[in-house]
Amino acid sequence: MAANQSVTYVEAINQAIKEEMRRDEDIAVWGVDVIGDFEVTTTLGILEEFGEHRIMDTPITEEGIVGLAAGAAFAGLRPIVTLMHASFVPLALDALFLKLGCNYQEWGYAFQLPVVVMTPVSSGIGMGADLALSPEALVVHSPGLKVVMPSTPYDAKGLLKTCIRDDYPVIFMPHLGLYNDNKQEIPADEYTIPLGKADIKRKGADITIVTYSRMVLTALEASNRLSEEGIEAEVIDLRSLVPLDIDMIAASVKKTGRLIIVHEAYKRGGFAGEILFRLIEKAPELIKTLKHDIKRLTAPNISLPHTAYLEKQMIPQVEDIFRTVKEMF
Amino acid sequence: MIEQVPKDILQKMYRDMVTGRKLDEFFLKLAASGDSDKDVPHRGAGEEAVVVGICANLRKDDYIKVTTRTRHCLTAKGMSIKDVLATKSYRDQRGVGGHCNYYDHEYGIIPYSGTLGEDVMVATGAALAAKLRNTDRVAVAIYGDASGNRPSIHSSMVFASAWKLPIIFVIQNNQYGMGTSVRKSYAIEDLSDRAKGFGFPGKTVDGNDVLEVYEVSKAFIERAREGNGPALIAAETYRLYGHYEGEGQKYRPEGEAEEWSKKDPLPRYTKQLLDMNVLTKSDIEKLDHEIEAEIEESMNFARSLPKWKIEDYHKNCIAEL
Repeated sequence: MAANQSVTYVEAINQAIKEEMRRDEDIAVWGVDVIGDFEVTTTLGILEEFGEHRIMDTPITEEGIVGLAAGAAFAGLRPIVTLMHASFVPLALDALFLKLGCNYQEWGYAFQLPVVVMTPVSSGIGMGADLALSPEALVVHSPGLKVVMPSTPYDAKGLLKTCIRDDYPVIFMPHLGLYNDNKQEIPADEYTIPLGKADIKRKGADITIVTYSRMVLTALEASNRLSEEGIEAEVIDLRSLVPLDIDMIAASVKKTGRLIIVHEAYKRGGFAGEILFRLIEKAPELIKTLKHDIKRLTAPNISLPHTAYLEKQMIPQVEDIFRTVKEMF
Repeated sequence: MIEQVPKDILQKMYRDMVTGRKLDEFFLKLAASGDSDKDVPHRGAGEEAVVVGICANLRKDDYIKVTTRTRHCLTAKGMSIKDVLATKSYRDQRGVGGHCNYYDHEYGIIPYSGTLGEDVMVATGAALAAKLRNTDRVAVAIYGDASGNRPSIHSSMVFASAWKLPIIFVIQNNQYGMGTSVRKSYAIEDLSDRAKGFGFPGKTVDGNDVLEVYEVSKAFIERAREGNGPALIAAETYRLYGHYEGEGQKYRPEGEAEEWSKKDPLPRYTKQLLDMNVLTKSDIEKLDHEIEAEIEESMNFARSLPKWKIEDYHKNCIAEL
């Protein structure tokens, strides 16, 4: 057993890709500026280690980046492709939603389609609606896509390795705002994390906070403040939206009797609605026994502004979670 | 020109064209019959020369993506009539088929996309895989003049040219995208001019002349196989029938279809082969019967297979996730 190592989120992603590329020579990476001459850092050093047949900077045409991945996977490769920002998902939506998400199902899984589309949510620095969108609602609606949104270096590495080994398409959405902060001790030895298993990031008996991606850190900070006020929140990090670990959510809500769902995506049609309905289907009686109405905290249905201080007021902050949860007691 | 083409290839192309034509006619008959396997035919009779001429230059391990209109001409790529009919009637043993959804991994047949033209990116991806895996396989993407305006085609060309991918783009210009004339949707006369801005060669051919399609695609396919990158062929042909069987065709000028039907590629090619003594009239009759019998037998075979059931279809899916 090798010692632990301390890594950032982006280093964890980088390690996952390289380890998998060493294991399987059919893996190839392409996307805009992935070689690393610009500012993309998740794929640094791949050219040097694996050569130009394994990593390529592409022309800037997102639908082509993803569309070609579908064909290359059909023809035997295992592509990992990147879209520089998750808000570019609409640019490639036919390729994502239909080619990757529907067509192989239409064929009754007659062939495998091992593609990972890696695309970071880029909110938090005032890049506006065009660049800061958290687009998970657009992709979870496709019947054949798995959707993964990790919050820590440990999760990012273990989940991404599982995504790369999956024989069917996965959308892996890290958060740009997590890349370089929050170093974490992770095992130096190889490990993977299965998709569809949520993680309790903080145990608590009074309220369940269900969230994912960067909002996990926000929720943890708010939970610490709530604890000072005598409220112990349980923070569930979904890690993957599809598959969804509804069992863990149901068990936690049964215990706490209170539920708040937090995400930074827009409210209308957002994933919070899906979580709640899945919970109702899973445990219809449970809903009737809750101690308080279920709440959700999300961005409002107003386009994100190109101004950091205004954007901050639209995406849930520690104070927002703290205040809303307190109102539930 | 015809003298230089090997006799077995001339005969293969004839057989492929007749098969395509007879399948088109068979589907029409099926649609009119009230049979449970019927669908609304999008007829491609009169456009077969494009797929057939190109496939005569392809190997089994090359990739191809065709249009919905001439998908049944894929017997030219090696798919059997049995597989065509099983696929069409949802009885395919390798996957759920459907009337448009032809796919065959063994013969490099890339699934068609209902969002027309988006599948050209998939074919381009297959060409990328062929290159990255150090093979000398090529990919061909055939699409209509209308889908040719989709951004996905341009994206494909951007990648193919920048990365010198072994792919041949083919516009099967049948003059109409549903009810819109190609003249309304392009400002250029010669559709192969589209290649110029991407820096690869383009050529317009008479798409109703299977020999010209064969010759031009042969040169481009060899060029791509040798690592010299993509090319574009604009094959001029004509949609002799409605977008789908039964629509009003109000957009068509009077007499236009009649003029084009005189250029039907099948009688034209038949005459060339008869003149050259590659085929005799009795060969033709014999082949006609042979193919008709094979279609009949294949449909009976297809009907003997179980249809896909909704439970089987769900079995493999991740709907529960």
